[in-house]
Amino acid sequence: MTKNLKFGLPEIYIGPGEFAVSREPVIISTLLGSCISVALFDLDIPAGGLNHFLLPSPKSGSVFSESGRYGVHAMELLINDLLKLGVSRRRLRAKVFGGSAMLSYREKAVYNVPKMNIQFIFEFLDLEKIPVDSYSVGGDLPRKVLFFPHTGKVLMRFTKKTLAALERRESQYSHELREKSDLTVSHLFRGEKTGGTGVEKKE
Amino acid sequence: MGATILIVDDSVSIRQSVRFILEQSGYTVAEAADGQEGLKRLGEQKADLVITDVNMPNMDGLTMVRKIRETDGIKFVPILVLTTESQGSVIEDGKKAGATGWIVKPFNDEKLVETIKKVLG
Repeated sequence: MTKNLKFGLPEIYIGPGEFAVSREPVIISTLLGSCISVALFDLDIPAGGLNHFLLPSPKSGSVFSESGRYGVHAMELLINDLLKLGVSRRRLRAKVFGGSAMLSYREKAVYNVPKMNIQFIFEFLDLEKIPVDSYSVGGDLPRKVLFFPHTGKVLMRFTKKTLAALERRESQYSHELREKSDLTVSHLFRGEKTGGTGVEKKE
Repeated sequence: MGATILIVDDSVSIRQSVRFILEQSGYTVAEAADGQEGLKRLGEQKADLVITDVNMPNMDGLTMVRKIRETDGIKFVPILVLTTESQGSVIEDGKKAGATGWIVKPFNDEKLVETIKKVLG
């Protein structure tokens, strides 16, 4: 953890596929291209968290598509850690950022990656009845996001710096997601108490 | 008629996406938003299989599994835990509580249906 000298607060930086939660006065920051970041917070605790994710192969932005399920998963990881801090799902509020058109593979793709990601997150938040306090999505510039989880405040600015490096990282992350998508881990337990006739299985 | 599966999860998106997959495979689906509601639904309506999350408000998934295993009439229903928890010790807790199986999210559609078919026999 580094210290943000301007605000005199510890700063936790998260990259693609990562997330962080806190109930301390800290800053959670990220640099976003095509990816989406959602800041979720409960001001009664107060606590909040920020994630940074991308749908693996978004032919559709639907929550119910196979790809959408990975977005649901990214959101669930963040929400679960917030619940562990005592946050109430009903009090959660959201701020949404990202989805700029900058991945180089977008030219090859028949579908619009940022658009599908944006569609996904608003559909998800609507389904889960989490109100959106503010958002900045789309365009073609990266965004630098600073989130203050204990107040719910976000500072965001557009940046032209580090475009190439960011693009490389997001492409790599997107590639890893697609690779991982058929590695479902499942175990069936053997035993008297366990209801089924399971065999031990791990894949 | 397909088997009836009860999905217990506090996230509407998860419930609806699991429902979508299961209905496509011919199953009948019922939903509950936490362990307490899950137990209540099981008392009212027969289910051939329960799919549950772990971290939920009011009553968590593993507490629900333990209570199901103690309740006459429903104690033998197979229960699959569908969760983001992948830590060995938590999976072991699930086995001890009486879960039939454990699936770590994010999951792939076919793998989920394949596991369900195995459990339902």
